[in-house]
Amino acid sequence: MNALNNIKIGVKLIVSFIFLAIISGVVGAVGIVNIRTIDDNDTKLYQNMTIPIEQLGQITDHFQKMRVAMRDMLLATNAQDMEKFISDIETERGEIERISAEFEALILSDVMRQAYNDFVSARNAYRPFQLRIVELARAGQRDEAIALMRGDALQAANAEEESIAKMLVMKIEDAKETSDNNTVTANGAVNTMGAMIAVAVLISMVFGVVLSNSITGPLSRGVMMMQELSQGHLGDRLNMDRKDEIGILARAMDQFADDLQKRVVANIKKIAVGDLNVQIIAKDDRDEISPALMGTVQSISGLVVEMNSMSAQQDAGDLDAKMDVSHYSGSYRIMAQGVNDMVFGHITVKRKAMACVAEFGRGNFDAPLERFPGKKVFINDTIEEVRENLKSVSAETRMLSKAGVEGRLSTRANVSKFKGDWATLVQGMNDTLDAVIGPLNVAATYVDRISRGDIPARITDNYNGDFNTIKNNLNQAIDAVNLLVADAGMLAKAGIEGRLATRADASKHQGDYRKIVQGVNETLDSVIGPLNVAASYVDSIAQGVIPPAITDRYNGDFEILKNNLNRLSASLREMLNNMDAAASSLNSAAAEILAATTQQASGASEQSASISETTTTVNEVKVISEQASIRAQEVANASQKTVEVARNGQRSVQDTIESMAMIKEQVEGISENLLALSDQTQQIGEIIATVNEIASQSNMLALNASVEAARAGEHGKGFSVVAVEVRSLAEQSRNATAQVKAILSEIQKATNTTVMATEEGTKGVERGVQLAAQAREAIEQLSAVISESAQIATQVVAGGQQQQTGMEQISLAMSNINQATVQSLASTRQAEKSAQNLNELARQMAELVGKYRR
Amino acid sequence: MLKKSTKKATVQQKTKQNIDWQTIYTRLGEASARLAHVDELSPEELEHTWAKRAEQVARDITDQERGEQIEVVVTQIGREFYGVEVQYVYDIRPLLTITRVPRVPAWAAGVVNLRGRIMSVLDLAAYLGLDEGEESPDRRLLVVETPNMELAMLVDSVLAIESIPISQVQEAVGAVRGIRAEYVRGLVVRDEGKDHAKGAAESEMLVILDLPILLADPALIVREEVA
Repeated sequence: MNALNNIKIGVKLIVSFIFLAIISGVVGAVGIVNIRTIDDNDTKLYQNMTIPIEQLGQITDHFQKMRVAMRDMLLATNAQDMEKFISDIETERGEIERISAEFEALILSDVMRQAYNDFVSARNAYRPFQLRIVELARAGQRDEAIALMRGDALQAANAEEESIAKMLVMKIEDAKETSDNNTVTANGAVNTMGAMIAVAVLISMVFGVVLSNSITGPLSRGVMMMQELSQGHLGDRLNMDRKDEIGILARAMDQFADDLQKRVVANIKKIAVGDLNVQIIAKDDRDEISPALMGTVQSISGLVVEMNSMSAQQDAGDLDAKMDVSHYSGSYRIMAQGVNDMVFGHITVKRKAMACVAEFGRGNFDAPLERFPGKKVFINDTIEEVRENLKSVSAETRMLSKAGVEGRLSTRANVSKFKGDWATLVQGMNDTLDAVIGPLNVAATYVDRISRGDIPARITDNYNGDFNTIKNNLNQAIDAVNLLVADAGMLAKAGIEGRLATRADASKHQGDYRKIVQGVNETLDSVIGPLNVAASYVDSIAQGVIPPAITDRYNGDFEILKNNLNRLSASLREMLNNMDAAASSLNSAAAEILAATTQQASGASEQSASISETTTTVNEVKVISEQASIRAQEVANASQKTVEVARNGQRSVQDTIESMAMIKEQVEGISENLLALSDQTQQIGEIIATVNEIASQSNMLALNASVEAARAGEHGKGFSVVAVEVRSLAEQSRNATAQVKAILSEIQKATNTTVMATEEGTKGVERGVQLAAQAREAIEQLSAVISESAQIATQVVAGGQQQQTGMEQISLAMSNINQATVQSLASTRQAEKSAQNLNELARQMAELVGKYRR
Repeated sequence: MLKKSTKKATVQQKTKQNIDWQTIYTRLGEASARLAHVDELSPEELEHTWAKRAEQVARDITDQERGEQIEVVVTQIGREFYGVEVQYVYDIRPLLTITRVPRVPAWAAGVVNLRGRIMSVLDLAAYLGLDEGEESPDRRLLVVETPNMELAMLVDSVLAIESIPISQVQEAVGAVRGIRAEYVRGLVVRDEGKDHAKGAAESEMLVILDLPILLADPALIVREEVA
């Protein structure tokens, strides 16, 4: 059986049919040889037995005619008739001689030769009597002739007749013997033919079954495996050791399954887990699997490289970086476009938020900001909170400055409305106001005392900045007034004491104080009369009380003196008023500046706190975005895996269809071979027809033998039985051939049925091909849907990565804003300090001026 | 998923419906065993054959004891049976190509060459005015010889050589089937069931022709002389 499996199907079929044809030929040849043998035997029977029997009959016939002619000769009445009968006798005699010679040529056995010799000697014995009788008849001695004929001649004639009869009996016995031999030969021929036909039929059937089995069994195994493959079960193998076409097909199918499992599916699994380092070499130009797989790897690799490049550029600050959509087509293009759109969406939102914050920096707190969709609204919320705080601080600052302008120095901002650094900022403003108003009150008290003539001691406390200047000025004023008072006292004492020559040292005084002393001195020098008036006037001034204008009229220099005194007091008053106004406005301005800067410092602190909060929130969002990105990547990987499995199924189905087509061709080859078998069967039928014809001729020969036997009379009785047997055998041969013909017809029918079954098989294979095609269509649709979801998932991944990058950038921006706010706060603190100094100066000035009464 | 499992079940069913090769092998083995012994007769069959032959031999003896017999070649023309005494028949030939002869009656079918002997062919059916029926596939030439005539007679088939006891031969009274009584040597009524009586359900009649008288018909002779 193994040896049979290793032979090609075509060789198997050819060898089988050649073998069957040889068997048919042998059967026919043996039949022909047997029939020919029977025919030869029959011919021999006819030639060697029947013809001699006939010849013996003729000899007898002529012998009797000759004797009749002799009798007629003796009865003849004239010589002419006698000569005619003598001629007849010689003619018949010649006939006997001729036929005897023919008979002698056909003698076979020695016994027959002996009998023939007896016949010749008997004839030779009779001949002299005959010649003597003729001679006597011619001589007219009829009575002697008749006596001779009835005497010795009759005895000789009887001897000759008996010898002829003896030969006839021997011939008939020979014929019987030959016929028996013929019967044996015919029996042998029939047995041989029957056995050979039976063997031929048996071998044909065995060959048919073995061949059919050796082809059908393995084929159904192959079909089972293909069905398994079409279900995606790649583990099955046929493992056939056969070397025929089915073995080659089985090995090709095993090789294909190995290939699919180890080369294609293994690489698809690598791609599915993200390992794109896949090298698949195409087997030849028509290999579609490897290029398709490599195409997939290249597309995904290109997309990954492009996205990495874009990500790097975005990280480096190139916010205009984007993926080149024109490199891709289909869903890859949609995905790349989606990534671009998402990144630019995030950047746009960021730019809008930063523009709004920039407007806040420029002082425009009402800068508009559109409302962002979804969770991006937290940006709106954060910026709106900053805006609200900035506006509140601004309102408080305005309220404080208005109160300052209106002189309501006790007015303070409401700290409880603010939180955090914003509250610190407002509290700072209140503290600044408290710090400015203390020194102002001191200055006011001093000025008030000076104005009331209560010259206080010098201010020894230390003040800062402008408040120190004010203090120094007040001390200078106190010193100047004290000096003036001392000099005036001294002059007054001298005047009281009459020492009108006493003069005050004007050089000790400065400015107008010096003029006063000089004037007093000059007045003292020039006037003594109105001296008192002037002295009291001056005294009043010296005491810090600017007296009203002198309304009394004086003459001459006194008038001038009076006018001068009035002018003095007026200018003094004007000067003090101017100083007072200057100090007052300086004070209010300083307070205003201080309030503003304090408010600003407080606002900046609060802003800084808000920005810290925003930065924290952004970091949280970033973490969430990373997690979402990882999840999306997992989904994309799973989808990719599914796509590859679907493609596997598609390829498997395609290969199944091709294998089915091959099976179909094989089956068609089988049906052609069956047609050849059918032709052979028909040829056997023709041979059988020939045998039939031979049987018919045998039948006729047997009939002839029967006729000959019957004509031979009683002696042919045995031969007649033989002839009947031969005829019966011929009939049986005919019946046997009819049966063989019927069997051949059955074989032909069986062949037809097999051809029809093969055709059914072919149709089944075609149906299988159709089903496989439907399966391929379904897998293609499934594959398309899965591909689409895989691409969408990949887009989500890329979007998540971009969102992450955007969040990092927002975080960086918030940090920058925070730094700017801190710097702004420091500047504001410096400005606040300057304002405090200015305020102190104003306070000191007011105090100085306040010393005078007007 | 449900669909898939159904498909698998169908496949298994198909596998189960595969050819039962074991049964076929068994049957083939039995057939070859029978074929191997088909040419050997069973003891019963041998017994039957021998018994039949013994019966045949015994009957022959009985027939012989019954008295004198005549040997008759039984031929068939149309659906009827005619016998010719065997001593007038010396050859039975398959129908060879008959060379037609012009200007002769319909019953003179022509001449044939029988092993170098040119012989006239007599269409017996036409001559006796019988129904010819359909042409038989095994038509035969019966070469006959009487003291007066030697010719070949065309018959539809030759069935057998039979020995008929003279006691069974009845004399013809008047014309038989349109044949003149003098041409008929006798009639034999035979029972049904004889092996050569193909399809004849009822008893049939065998007409034994008196060939010497038939062939001595002057018409036949005159024609021959004219020819």
